[in-house]
Amino acid sequence: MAATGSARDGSFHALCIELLSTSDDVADRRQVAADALVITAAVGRRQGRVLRPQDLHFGGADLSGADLHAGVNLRGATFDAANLSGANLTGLDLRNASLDAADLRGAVLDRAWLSGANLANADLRGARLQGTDLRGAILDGARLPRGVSMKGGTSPASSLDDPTFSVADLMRLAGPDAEARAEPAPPAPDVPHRGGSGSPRRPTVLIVDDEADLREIMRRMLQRRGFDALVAGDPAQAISLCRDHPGPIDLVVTDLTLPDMSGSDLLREVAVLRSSVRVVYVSGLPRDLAVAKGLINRDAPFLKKPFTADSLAEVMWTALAEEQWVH
Amino acid sequence: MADLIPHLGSLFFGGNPYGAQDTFAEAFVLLHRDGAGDDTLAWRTAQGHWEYVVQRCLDSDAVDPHAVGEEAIRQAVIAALEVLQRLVRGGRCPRCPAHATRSQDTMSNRGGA
Repeated sequence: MAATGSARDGSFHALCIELLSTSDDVADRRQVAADALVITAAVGRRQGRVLRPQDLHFGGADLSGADLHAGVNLRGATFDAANLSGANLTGLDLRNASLDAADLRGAVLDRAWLSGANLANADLRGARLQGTDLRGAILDGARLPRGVSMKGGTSPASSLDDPTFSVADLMRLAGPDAEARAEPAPPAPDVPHRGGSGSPRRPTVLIVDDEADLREIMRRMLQRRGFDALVAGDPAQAISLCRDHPGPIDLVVTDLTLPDMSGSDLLREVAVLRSSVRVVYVSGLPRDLAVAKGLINRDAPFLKKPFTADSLAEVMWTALAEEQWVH
Repeated sequence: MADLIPHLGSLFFGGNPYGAQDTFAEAFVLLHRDGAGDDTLAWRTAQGHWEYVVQRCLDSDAVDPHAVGEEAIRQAVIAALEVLQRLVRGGRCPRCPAHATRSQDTMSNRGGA
């Protein structure tokens, strides 16, 4: 026992795991490590110190509602597919942590350090991100809350400029700061001017989505990938554009659920005005469910949200495959 | 150093300097009550298990490496309470092989050993 200031090199987190453990099952062990983490954080807070857990693997654990702020250093920890909904992660050092597919709904991440962290496919809806450092974070396929204010924080500039960045709900974070960093958009080095010899004409796509920020980021992403883009916020606007736009409209990307009518109903109206137009449907619904609801045919070009810009572009090029984009 | 570790009885009442929950000491002792309801033995066993956990915390990074004497003990007690209060709520003592659950029992001798 060390009671007079001698080296205390034992890990309290490891001790907690030892005391809490009742089995050697791996899944149980991860949950025990997570429970021990909550205790360790509480002790760190009470002692006014930051403790470093010994075991940093919390994949799949239930940490919903956990209070982890100020008390532990979680740099490089693994929380893949963990449930962190409603957790208090304020100011935590989560640099280079892996949070792939983690449930972070309603979590408080104010002033947390997430630079270099992997947040791919994480669900951050309803999370608080005031002053959160997301530089270099991987956000592909993640879902961020609506209207996230990046004021006072660090915009995910590297991610916004990253051609693999998701165009899914995540992009709703794009506030003024993020916009400024993302523009002017440099052309992607592999912009797919497909179509053979001669001067390629960029296909024109009409994006129909009632969510303005998602609409706008899709426009930017598709422009980087070789498309000219028009945008409409509702079916009436889309129909007006199809009627009045002086140039060609080659393809419509539309949400399946729109104000006043479905995406497939809209396409029937558009086809009257633009008979050769192609379509790609996007939706948060799984394809099978959309088919079961009669919203689309089984073989309709379809992409489930969230999706990446690359996957959207690929579906679009496939839909356009039989067309020649050379004058 | 064990004599510096607070007796469980000192945690029995509210206002202890470690922030122990009022119900903790009683619940922890109840976990150690044998079938015959020997409260003296329960207190003695519980005290031993309590001291074990505090000592383990004392050797961990839950205690500031520069802390000595009563301050080191105070930090270790706080850490031990964080673990044990959670376990006791689940009816478990980490030192008891069977992790007996007797939290539904009542205590006839609150003063203990």
